[in-house]
Amino acid sequence: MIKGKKEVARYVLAPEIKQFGEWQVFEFQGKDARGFDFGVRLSPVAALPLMNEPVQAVDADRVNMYAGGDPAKIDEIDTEITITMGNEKEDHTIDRAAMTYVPRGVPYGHRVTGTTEKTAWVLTLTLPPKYDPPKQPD
Amino acid sequence: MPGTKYDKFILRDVKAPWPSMGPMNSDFLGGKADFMKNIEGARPNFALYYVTRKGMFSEPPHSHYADEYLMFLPADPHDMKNLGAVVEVAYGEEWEKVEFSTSAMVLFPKGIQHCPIHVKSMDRPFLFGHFWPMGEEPVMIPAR
Repeated sequence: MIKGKKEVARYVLAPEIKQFGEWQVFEFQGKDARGFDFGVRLSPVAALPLMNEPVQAVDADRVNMYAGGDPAKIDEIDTEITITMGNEKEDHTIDRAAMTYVPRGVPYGHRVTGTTEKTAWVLTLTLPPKYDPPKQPD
Repeated sequence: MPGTKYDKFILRDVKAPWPSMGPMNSDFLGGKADFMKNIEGARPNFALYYVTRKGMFSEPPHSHYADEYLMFLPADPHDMKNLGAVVEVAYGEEWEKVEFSTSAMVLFPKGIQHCPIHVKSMDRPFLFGHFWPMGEEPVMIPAR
């Protein structure tokens, strides 16, 4: 439900909600002020195995934030996720709130290696190309 | 695996208290300056936390020199359409209001005054955060 005059209601943008088994995933695609694409995705960790995304590179920088499902303990994700990065297939284990940055062109993928009895989240931002703001005069 | 090629791209210390926001919010997850120094590509400027009760956000009306998005993200993995709260956001000098109860990305175009933000009612906490797609350092221009 969105209520308000068209002039301002147009700034409240709806995501796409995707279904993976019993889990739902929030996805939003937008454009920055230059016209470049960006993306926002919030996935329950339990949905990751069902999304079945292979280790692969994307043509954009990406950042992932891992968060717990309990507002009182946002840093406790109560599971274990392995992120594999690079052609070297480096494995890194995430078992608390954390952030990972995946540079453009670096293959990566997630594997859930812990239980998913409790809710935990992965927020993934697909970033537009790097922006260098104009230098301010001295 | 400390000391490996990609370890510098993993930040394990993301939690910070946000005392200025008081009990309305959970702790705050975000980047740290030392970590950002490792990043040569696009700069991620965002945060993530829970809004845990109804009430007014503390930010007064203001604008920015760049587009900002606010992420209103449901915390029920079985119902990602419904926010679980009713939120009202004001735009412009007349505080033109828009109200919603669904998950949303709320755009504040550059130069357009926004706030206050009012969580009018809440059935369950929701995840929330700001996101600057181009990674700019936010500059808050107070409303006149």
